[in-house]
Amino acid sequence: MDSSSSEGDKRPQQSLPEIGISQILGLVELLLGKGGREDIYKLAGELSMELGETLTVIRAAEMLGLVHTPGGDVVVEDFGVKVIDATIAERKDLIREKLEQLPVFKSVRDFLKREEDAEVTREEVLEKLAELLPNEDAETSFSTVVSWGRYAELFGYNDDSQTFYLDV
Amino acid sequence: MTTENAIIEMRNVTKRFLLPQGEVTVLEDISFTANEGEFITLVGPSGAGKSTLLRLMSGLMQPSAGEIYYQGKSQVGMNPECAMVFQNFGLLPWLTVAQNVELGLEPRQKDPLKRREVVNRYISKVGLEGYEEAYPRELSGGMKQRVGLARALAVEPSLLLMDEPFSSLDVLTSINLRNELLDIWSDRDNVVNTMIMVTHNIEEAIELSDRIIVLSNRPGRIVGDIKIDLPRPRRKRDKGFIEYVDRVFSLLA
Amino acid sequence: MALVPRSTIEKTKSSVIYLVLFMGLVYLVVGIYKGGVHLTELRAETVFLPDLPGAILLSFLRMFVSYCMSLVFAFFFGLIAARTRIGEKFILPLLDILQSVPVVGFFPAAISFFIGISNGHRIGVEMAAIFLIFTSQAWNLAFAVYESVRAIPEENEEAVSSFGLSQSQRFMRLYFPASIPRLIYNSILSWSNGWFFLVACEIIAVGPVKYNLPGIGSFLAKAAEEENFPLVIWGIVALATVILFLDLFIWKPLMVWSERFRQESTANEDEEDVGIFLQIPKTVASRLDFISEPALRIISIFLVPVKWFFREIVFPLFWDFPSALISGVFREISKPVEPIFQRSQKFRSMVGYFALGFLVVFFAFYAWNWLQGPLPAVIAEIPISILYSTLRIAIALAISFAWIVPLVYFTWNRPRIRMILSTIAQLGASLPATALFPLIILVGVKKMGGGMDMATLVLLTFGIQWYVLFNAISGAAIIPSDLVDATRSFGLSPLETFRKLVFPAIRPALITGAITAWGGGWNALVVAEYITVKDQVMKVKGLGALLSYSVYELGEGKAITIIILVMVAWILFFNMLLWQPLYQRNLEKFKLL
Repeated sequence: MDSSSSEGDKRPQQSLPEIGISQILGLVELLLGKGGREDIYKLAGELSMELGETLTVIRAAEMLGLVHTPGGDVVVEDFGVKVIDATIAERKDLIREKLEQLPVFKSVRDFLKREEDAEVTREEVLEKLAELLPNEDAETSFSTVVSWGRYAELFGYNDDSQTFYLDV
Repeated sequence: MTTENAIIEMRNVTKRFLLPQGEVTVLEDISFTANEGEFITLVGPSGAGKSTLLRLMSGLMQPSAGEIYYQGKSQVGMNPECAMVFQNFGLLPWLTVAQNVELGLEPRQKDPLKRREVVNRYISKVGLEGYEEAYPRELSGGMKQRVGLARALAVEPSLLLMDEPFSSLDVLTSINLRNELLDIWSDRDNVVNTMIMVTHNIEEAIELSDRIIVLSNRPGRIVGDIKIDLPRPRRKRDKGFIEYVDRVFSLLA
Repeated sequence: MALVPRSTIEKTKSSVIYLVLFMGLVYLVVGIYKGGVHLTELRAETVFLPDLPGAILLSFLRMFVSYCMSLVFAFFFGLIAARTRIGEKFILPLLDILQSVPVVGFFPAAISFFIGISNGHRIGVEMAAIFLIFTSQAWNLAFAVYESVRAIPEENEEAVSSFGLSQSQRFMRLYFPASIPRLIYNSILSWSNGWFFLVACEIIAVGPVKYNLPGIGSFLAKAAEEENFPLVIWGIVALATVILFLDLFIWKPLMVWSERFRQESTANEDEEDVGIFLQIPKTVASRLDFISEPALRIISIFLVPVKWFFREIVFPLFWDFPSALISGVFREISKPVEPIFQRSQKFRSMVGYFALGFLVVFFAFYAWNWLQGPLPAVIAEIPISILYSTLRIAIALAISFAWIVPLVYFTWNRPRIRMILSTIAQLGASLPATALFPLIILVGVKKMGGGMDMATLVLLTFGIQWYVLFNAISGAAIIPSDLVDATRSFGLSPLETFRKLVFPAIRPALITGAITAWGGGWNALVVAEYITVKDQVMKVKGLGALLSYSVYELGEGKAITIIILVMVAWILFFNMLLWQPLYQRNLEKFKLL
């Protein structure tokens, strides 16, 4: 039940779905409104979303330790309840802690720390992603890394210069 | 008529447009008062002039007849006291998130340092820290609307106007954003606690607001003014909730 | 209540001070310049190779000044046209007409006006030349601003309004950035137009007096007069180098940079709209990165004073203050009649129509008075001249089609060759045909003994064939590959395929090319039909020559006006009766996408 910190490490090749944080939080909020548990197929029907799309959001929420999926159901984790009950600022801290455990984010952040003052370019991160997630479209993973990383303030990214930097 | 804590009052407001096919009355004889601290939604079929009503309140449009009083004073021209959130966000693509939020402050606050301070405060209020240097094109719909919200809040208005703010977002994102909007609204150190929102989603209206004003179709007239007396958070499956849905539907039919 | 808000008055005051200082500076510079060269010195007898760098530089400066003025004009009138109802009703049609008036038509008025105000100093001739270049650049840019501002989503406009931004803030945040992509695209066209006429403008002749402004145009003309063949070639190479340099180091980086100012949703639509004129493949653009960074930095340094000039002088003085004053005055005088105005939009539009009617009557009366008295004799030659000129353009178009359509036949399914071809076309088109004219005269007429008719036709063809070529290539580029596969599966021969698929597919593009060429052709015609070599006039029969003749030899205002009016009417008449219907029909019938 409890999402341990080692879970992410066990599956280093977990792909990054192209889903916004708002959608993930929205899913957890929706589930909590239904008492914290719902059948996946029913959920997809109710959201008038394609099943594949619904599954992607669920997978993303699972990755962040907000829900888990026993059988055909989605169930909100305690951590999910904690995140939703938190203030907007606290939420970001909680998500950051989770992201730091995911290998992709960890390696990008380590990369940045190692470079000290030097900036890390888009190309370098793209290469890194291709290495970590060889079966995924690097551009898709990249936009998710940037968007989640920005949300959790793990790192910043400047699209003009196409470089990453550490948030102070 | 004017109560002590009235924010905005519409008195017999009518709006006509001159179109190629002739003059069309969009809103007719609209009268209501929004009080401080209220969260009001305007619902009605499309073409009922909901958005026009919102633009009349903001001063983007002027009424053809009738008068608008803002905090007891007759309102002419743009109302600097209210800020608006748009359906398609209305963000400038060439400005970063921080610059977009700063936009409304430019005429109000000349000191750039103080301006930055306010910008940062509201960026963090809506949960956008980390996105300051991002451009709108890099953001998902939910994040874009957060920018729109931060931009409106940053001018510290006494009335927040929202034109279908969730209708161009996907289902899940809009659930999330609605909740965050309620968080912000109930936040005590907030300047703005009066909100008027246009929506075509009746459930959304009941979930969020204290009061629903129902407009009829062309010309838009007020056909109902319903106080929602339900504790928050409101659940769609609750009995009281469903009763309100029926009531609003019956007014629209 | 005061007519104008206090803050606006304060700002206006400081702007007036800035403006006075600025004018003083301009006056000082002009004064120094005036002392230098007098008009009589502008009749250089011979040119030498060392004159070339200076000539190029002076020509470039002329272009640059004219371009800056065009930008100011474009923003001012483009914004008025886009943002006021009166502007849209009057400025747009006016720009449309101005765009089709041959630049040469402005010659006499411009020259006598500018030489008049400068007391016979060189600066007057310079100003006249710059003004003439301006007329080939400005309208196109004003349209760019107009279209960009019109394309701004309403919500963005409302957002800016609802926060109460001042007009100058509005400009800096909304209108200026929104206009950048289209403006840069159209600037490239404006600069080609500018080069074309610059070459013709540097030799200004009024009646018996001829002024040579030092520059690349007069350099080429002089070299050709002296039959100095190598010098002509040097001049053309130098000009081509400058144009290529500007294209690679200024326009291409700017085009890449301007991408970020596009509205997200309109990214593709725009590209299609403007055709492929000078459009560059993305790969080339990305390889130019190392150039674009420093280039952009330099440009942004240049932009700082421009922005300051707008923010501190132009907007407060010419926009904020007048608009505040007008609305203030309007508010005061409308108080007694407010109820009528407020309630009836009909009344307001009636006032508008009344004012319009008054203007029309006034101008009609004025024009009638002016036309009284004997008509100039040249008027009688107009019909036959129109016929000749139209024939000339038709032949030039036919020549263009004759080599371009077979070329497309051989290249339409060979993308690599098409790319090379389009690059060559870009280079060819960027070199102004007028620069080649001295060469054509020198070789074609003097050496080979061809007639002036032949030379005119060659220049005209050079001037307009690129329009056709660009459009033909772009038309062929968008043929969907599944259609090609389908035709192939039927086993059609290459010629059959061309007849059944490619030619119908490129037909709308060819017609677009022909329309553009038709418009541009008249401008080229005015330059091509009449030329002075060594005080000897060489001309052919045609409306362009007739206009030039009236301008240079007769100096007859009435004749010039009538010829221009006839020409404009003829161009518009053809557009409406032939090209537009043809285009519409083809578009509907052969639409591929």
